[in-house]
Amino acid sequence: MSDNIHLLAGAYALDALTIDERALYERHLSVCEACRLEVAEYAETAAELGVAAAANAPAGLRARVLTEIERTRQVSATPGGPASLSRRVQRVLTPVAAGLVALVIGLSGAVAVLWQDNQRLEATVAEERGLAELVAAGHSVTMTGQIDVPATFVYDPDRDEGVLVATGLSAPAEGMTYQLWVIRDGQPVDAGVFGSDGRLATATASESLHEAEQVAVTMEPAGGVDQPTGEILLSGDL
Amino acid sequence: MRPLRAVGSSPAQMSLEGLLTRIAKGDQAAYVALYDRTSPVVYGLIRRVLRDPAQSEEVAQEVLLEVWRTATRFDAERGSANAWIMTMAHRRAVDRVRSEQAARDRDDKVGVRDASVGFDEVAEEVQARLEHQQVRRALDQLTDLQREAVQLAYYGGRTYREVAELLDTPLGTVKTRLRDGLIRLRDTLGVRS
Ligand SMILES: [Zn+2]
Repeated sequence: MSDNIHLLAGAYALDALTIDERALYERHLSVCEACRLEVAEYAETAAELGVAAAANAPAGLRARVLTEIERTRQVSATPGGPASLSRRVQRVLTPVAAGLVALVIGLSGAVAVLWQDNQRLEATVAEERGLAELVAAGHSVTMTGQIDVPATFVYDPDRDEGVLVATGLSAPAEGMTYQLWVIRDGQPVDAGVFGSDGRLATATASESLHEAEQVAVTMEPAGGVDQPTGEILLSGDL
Repeated sequence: MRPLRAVGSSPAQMSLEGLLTRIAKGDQAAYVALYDRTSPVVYGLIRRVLRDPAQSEEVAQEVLLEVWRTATRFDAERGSANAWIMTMAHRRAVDRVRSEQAARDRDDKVGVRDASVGFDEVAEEVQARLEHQQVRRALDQLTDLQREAVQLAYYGGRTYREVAELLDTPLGTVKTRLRDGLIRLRDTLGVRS
């Protein structure tokens, strides 16, 4: 896969990659204009396949959705740029990539096992070197709060990129999600939602870290909210 | 009598892109118009992938709300509104299938779904229920391997690794067939990019 990652455009557009591969390919997309164009084209074609499957939606759905939007706040628009494709899907890094981070920042045993599980993808990870560089940039903040799990926010101010890595974070409650916040001038800004499999959770901040003073995590209704409603579960000063 | 509204400004006449632009500003009437036009395809696609009606309805609701929530981030320069919405719907449906599958695997340790059952089910459903003549004809233009691979991946929610196993074909071949299958479909359907 590492020698011809461009060929994955079709499989990606059909959502036929595993979660791990998808994250790696999205990392590639953020640096490969040719693949971005190709994927955009295939997405149009795939959508036609989707349209062909049209069926009557259940009657009750309309009323429920229209009621829900009344109390669902819309997210703020983010500036475009090469990273926005992955922002749009609120990329959550995989255990593969997270294993690499966690290994480097020394989060111990369980993660080392994950790393071994995924070693077959090592070559690709190395090729898609972004995360390793992020770690090498050397800024990491320990996140603390209501939840007592090892959690670190690794970031690079120059590349304006940051990733949260938490081990042993329990899966969010039914119908809920974790949400990452960037605090700037005392105001929380949505930086993406993420889940956890109970072992290892990672989340790439989808919001710029410029002039941010803090990052924080809350638990919110599935899909996330525009402003935090839950208690701050984890936070760290940048 | 002059019309009260300029042509094109009524939600019913607007493009999906135009509706999304309005929705991004919180226009609920525009959202209702968009809902009525897109909910059958959103629900239909999710149902095709998930099959279970209750789960499909749940996922469709999530996706349709997500359209409202993130309309602010739709960028018409990156693709059509239709593709933006269908990509979201398909991704959510596939992720649900995979997490269900992972749960089942934890329960019974059966790693790979039964090949014969899986393929026949998907192929039958797709053949029986494809309403769109144009898409069916386009699928008919593909080689058998391209068509089977694309259908298993897109309508069946399979990974290309699973597709390779189901069709007893090398991984690299499946990867390539998915890609050239899409190219052929694109050319046949004449989809604007
Ligand atoms: Zn590429």
